[in-house]
Amino acid sequence: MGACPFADFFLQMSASVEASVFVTSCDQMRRAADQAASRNGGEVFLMNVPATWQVPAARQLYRKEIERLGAFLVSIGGVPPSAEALAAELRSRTWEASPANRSTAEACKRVPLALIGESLMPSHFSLPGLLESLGGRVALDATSLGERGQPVFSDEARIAEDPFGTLVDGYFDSVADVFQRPNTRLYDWLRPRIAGRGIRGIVLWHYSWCDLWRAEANRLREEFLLPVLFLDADGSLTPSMKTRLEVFLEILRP
Amino acid sequence: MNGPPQKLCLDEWDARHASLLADGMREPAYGGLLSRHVGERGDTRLRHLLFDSSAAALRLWNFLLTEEDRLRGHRAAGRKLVGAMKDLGTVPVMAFASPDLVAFYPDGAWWTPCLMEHSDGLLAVADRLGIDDSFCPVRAMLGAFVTGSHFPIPELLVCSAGAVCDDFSAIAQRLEPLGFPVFWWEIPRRRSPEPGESALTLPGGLEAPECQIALTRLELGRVRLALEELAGGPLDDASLSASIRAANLIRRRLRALRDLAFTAEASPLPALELLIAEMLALHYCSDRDESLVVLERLLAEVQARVAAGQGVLSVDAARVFWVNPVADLRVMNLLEECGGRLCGTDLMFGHALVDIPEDLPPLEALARVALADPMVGPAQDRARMICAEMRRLGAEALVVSRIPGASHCCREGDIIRQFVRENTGLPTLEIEVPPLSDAMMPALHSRLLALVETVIGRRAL
Repeated sequence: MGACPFADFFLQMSASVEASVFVTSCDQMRRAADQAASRNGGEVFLMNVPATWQVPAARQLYRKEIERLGAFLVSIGGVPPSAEALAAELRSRTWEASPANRSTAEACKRVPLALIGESLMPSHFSLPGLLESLGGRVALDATSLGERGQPVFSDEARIAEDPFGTLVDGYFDSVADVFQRPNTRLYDWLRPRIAGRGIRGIVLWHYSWCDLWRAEANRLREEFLLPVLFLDADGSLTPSMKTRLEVFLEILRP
Repeated sequence: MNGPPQKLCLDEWDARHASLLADGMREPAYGGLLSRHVGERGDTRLRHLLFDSSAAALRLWNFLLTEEDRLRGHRAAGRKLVGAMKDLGTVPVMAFASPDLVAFYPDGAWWTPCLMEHSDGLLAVADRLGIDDSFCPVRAMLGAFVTGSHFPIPELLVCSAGAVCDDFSAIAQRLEPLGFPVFWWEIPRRRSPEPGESALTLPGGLEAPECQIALTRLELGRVRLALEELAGGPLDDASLSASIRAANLIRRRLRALRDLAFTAEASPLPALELLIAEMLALHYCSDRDESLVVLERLLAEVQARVAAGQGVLSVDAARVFWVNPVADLRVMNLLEECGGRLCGTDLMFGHALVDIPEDLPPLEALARVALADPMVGPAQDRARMICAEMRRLGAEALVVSRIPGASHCCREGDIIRQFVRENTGLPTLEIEVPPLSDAMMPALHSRLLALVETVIGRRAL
């Protein structure tokens, strides 16, 4: 029976560091933390990220978990930031699309795609470049470490007054993900961006044995009425994936 | 007592039924021939199972296999149906506090492809909706909702989220855009208290931070409001407390049944019936009072057999502790054909077998039990509880039965087996059981046989 390669990768990486932070946003990662804890190695912290978001109790849980994470980091040698330092950090957080994806005149000739799904692993970092070489471009990076996973800290007055509360609310309110229940926030986030950026096709980037993203393939088709290429990713970009991307873009090209 | 215990095939049960009737057996309204379920419902898997020969077991099977009729009867009587999903044991206690509500687990549809040997087509429907066989067989539930041809569609769906299986959560989420709204409530991942953090002991003996219990209590408060809205009246503390007491009665009967069956020198009840009996703790097969009667009859049968020194298996049978429910019921028969017997189980809902505290406000009590769920905490906690039970019940081996596609199975099995090996030195085995295991039966047979031979061999050392 297979395990998620992303969780496996994270588990392997955690073996070579002094401390690792896992999250409960999926069962595979949650149980990977159990595996990490059962071997002799570095410290393991498992952060409980609530799946629900519509009630104050979920926000309160999230806030307590950030506090607990802070205490853990301090316990392994970290230094708590001052309010000013935290505020400065929040102000510095801006999301910038990679050069290949910006709406330059050259880029606009390529087929605009939405890349939706889990974060890319280092062995997949060449994917946007590959899409570009095939005549496409990632006009919407909706992977977990892409635009979709970036918190918004826009209220300057609140940052100055309560940087910790801003940190908590920024992540809790603006990051939409597939594990949330209901997952309507994910679709609410995607809808205006897919429409506004003229997206012509969706590449669903999902790891083998990831039930959460896999289950969304049909829903994405039903919701956006766009072609969806479902890439079942493992450790690397395979020749078969490249061929499928090539054909997908050939079909989408005007 | 019904004579010396035996295991009978379906055809033999027809003759046995006639004989029991001739001897004066009185059946409930849902009683009758077991074989009728093949023709009336298409439960063809029954033809390949072996059943206990007692009237108590007949009642158990008929009770289980007529649940859909019962649900339709409740609806006809004006009661509202609550589909509880995933929490396995908590929400039904709340729903049954109202005389106008009946709860059941649509999750139970996972056995339909087995019972109907795929003639139901539920998995094919799930395939078409993008939920293929990389998911747990509980995906049959999706097919059952869409076709509406199995259980009646509940008025309210309540599903736990957070520390739950990904596959179940994804499937339940898939229901929403198909027109089946879900009420989600958060069950946090149980963790050990931090140093100095205030904590409480949960039923079953584990500890949890008070803040997690408080969150769960708040979430169950939201569930309570949703149930009140559906019932059209309040679910007050007195009703909830009465429902908790009724649930505890059932749990105590079940625990007595399990303890006696698992520890008797000769196994007094087959593994298959023990597995089915445990399921009654979850939602009482939609009739709490009758559920208690069914369990009391089984317990009386087992007590009588033990007193008479009777069993359904050789006293030499290898004593096996079983982890996780099997998608194919036939495999419980197979264990016994290989020379094994059940000597303890963890079917993923140990929290539904312990007493719910009766001396606490009801939502506080239910929150503590919900957090005691073996599946919401670390696999190490579950492994520790399994070890303790194996020692208590005298188990000689462990079988971890993987559920195909289930997100928890790929990692926890190794942790549990390693923990058990290190702490008990007993042999362990991991198998995978699909809804219909016929094609894998020779391999499963060989693996279970090898385990049993190992156990027998160790006795001589």
